[in-house]
Amino acid sequence: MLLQSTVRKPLVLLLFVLFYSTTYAQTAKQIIAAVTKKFGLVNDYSAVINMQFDIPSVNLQKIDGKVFYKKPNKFRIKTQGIVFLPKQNPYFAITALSDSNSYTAILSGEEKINNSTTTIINVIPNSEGDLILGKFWIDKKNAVVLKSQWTTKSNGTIQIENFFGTNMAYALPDKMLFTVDVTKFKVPKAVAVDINSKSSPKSSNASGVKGTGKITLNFSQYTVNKKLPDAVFDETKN
Amino acid sequence: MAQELAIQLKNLSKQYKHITAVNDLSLTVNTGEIFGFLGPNGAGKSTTIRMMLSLITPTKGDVIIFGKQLAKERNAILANIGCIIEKPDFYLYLSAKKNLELFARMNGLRPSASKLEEMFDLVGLAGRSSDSVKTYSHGMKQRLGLAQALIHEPALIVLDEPTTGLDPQGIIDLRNLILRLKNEFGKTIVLSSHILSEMELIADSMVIINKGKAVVQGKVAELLSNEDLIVRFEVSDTERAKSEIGFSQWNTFFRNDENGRLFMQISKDEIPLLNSFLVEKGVSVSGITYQRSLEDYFLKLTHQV
Amino acid sequence: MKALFQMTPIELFKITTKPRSYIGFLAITVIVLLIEFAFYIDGKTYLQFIMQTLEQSFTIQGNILNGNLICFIILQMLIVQMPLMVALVTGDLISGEAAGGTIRLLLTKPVSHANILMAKYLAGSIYTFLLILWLGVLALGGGYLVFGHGDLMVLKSEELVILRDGDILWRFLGAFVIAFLSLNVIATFSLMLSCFTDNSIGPIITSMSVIILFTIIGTIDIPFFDQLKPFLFTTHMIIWRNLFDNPLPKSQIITSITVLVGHIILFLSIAFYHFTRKDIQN
Repeated sequence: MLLQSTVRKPLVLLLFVLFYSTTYAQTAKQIIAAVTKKFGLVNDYSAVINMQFDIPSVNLQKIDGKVFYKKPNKFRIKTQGIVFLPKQNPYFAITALSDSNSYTAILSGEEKINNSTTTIINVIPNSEGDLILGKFWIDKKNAVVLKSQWTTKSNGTIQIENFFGTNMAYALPDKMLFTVDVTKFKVPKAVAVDINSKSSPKSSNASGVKGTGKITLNFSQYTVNKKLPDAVFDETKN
Repeated sequence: MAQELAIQLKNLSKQYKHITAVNDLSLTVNTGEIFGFLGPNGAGKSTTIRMMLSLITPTKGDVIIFGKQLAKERNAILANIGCIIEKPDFYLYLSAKKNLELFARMNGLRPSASKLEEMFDLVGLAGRSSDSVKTYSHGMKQRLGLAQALIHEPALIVLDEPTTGLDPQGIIDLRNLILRLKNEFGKTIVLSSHILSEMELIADSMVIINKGKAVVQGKVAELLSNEDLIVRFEVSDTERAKSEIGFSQWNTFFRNDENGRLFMQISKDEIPLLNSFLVEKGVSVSGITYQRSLEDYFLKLTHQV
Repeated sequence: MKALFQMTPIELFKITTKPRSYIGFLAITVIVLLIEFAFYIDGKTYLQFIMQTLEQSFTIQGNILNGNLICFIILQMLIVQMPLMVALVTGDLISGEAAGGTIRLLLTKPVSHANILMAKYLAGSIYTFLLILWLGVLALGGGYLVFGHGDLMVLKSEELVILRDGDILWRFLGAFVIAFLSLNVIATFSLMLSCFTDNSIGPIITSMSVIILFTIIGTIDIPFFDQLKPFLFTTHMIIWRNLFDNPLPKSQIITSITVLVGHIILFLSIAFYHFTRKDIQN
């Protein structure tokens, strides 16, 4: 009996853990499902965008433009000038989450972001690809992602923070802040030809911590679900 | 009535570190005369002329031209002077006409095409005005130099060694032009040269300078009339002429003979007398020319002979 | 003043008649067209090489290879050559007259030595201005024509500055003004040297030698040389680049312009002092 009881205890514990984690894993996917469902309300949108950059060794002035999105994965920022954009479009993550069988989601606690309680969910892809790990801070109440962090093989870590306002109903943020790993920029002197320059970056924009670049997208004047033609995503057209 | 002075040099000196190029030189040039500036190479002629034209600043002394002090009224004085200094250099890549026009414009003039052609006619360059100066001979440049010196119709013309490098015909043409400028246009002309006989032919007055100092100054006719010349007689029979001279009082004036020519050292007044003597003795004379040697004249002046 | 107005066109005309005056224009034309052709053919590869580190992290969107960038690159490359082109003409302004013998006639005209020198300086400045203007027309005009407009990506060894298209033209105009001032320093420097000699090779070679020497001193990072740098005019000649900084380093630009203008005044004063007292003996 003694033996039975000593064996039974850990078994119950194991079953409990398995049950608990399975239950909560489903919940994590449910949370994600709620988020993707909400975002799924948006078939397309266009908006006015203002971009600000804070990238080490890159002094880039802010710029206005227009942004276009269409399901499932068409995204274009149209500006008159040079812009630095994250390698992935901002909905890459959410699009990837729509197939719930392609990843394992694990709840990893809670955290307060801007007075909102968020549930942290770690996402691990089931198959090997560029994505190594995803982490989401989800506002369950509003079914929106307030923050996500992606670690990829090719581009290091990308962090996206969303700030919602008037378009919460469509899960469209008023502001997105990208934080990207950056290799320090260096041009050979022969190409740069600034022979007499002092070698200290002067501009305020470039004064951020070396190694991470920040891109802020401010959205306004959203126009949602107005059947955007595909032609606006043609990069060859201005 | 005293003649008006064109140029007055008062105690003019130019001192370089260890060389005195011009030493307390004073002279006067009357208006309307041809004035010869004589001296051997390095005597200080060029320095003096350059000081007269403000190319060189005197260490001491005054240059007064037409009553105005050069140091104070340089531009007003230079507006009334035309000159060629040493060799006539022009912008080689331009045509003669363009050169002339440029120098006229520097004098504040805008000469018409006809005025330019008139100048080319005057100096004997008609028909060559459009040629590049690069293609000009030295003589042609000298003529162009004269045109340049005359285009603004100055009252005073300064020509520094104008005959250097000219062929005999060029020298004659230049001499005639200078005389014409004086006689027809009433110009005052200052000429520098190291050839005394050249001056004798055209100059009214002259100064001879040596080592920066005036050796002699005055009217050419007065200074040179009684001086011995080397006179060349071209004769039909040299031996006979020599023998006749050898037995006469002319013997002491005989210098030498060469290719049918006798060289006699006599004064200008004695030329017709010797000519008559030879003719009387049956020696026909086909030509008489004479020249003066500045060196000899110098030596005489400085009592070294 | 009247004499100056009278003499300046004459001096300018003389410059236009000398074959050497066209070397600069020809060189600029060839170099600019060559750079534009090279960038037209292979500019994208060149930019990819520079941008490769950043493209690992970002997608860079927009027309990088545009007229503004081409003009900027051309300005950077030509800043080394243009002093030679200017000195070739301005180093000959007085000494060329002395070598050709025309200085004797020139200085016996009823125009003061100061006016003659000033006219030569103005003519040399106009020449320099025309050279810059030609560079601007070819580099900026040609650049816009072939590569179109776009934001300017300023390549620096430590930093990449991207300026918006609408914020660039005034910077280029300012850069051309500073480049003009810089070349004017060379013009007055060689003109000053030209007053001291009777051959034109001397001032040209000396001007170039001084520029090379000062540039070398400016490039070597030795503390002693660092102390000298603020006093070298070559240090301030490349200040045109600072117009493409964001924010604009105003005090640095004003200091450099003051130093450049100071050099122009200094060199002109020396030239005036010597030339108005110079005896013409050749």
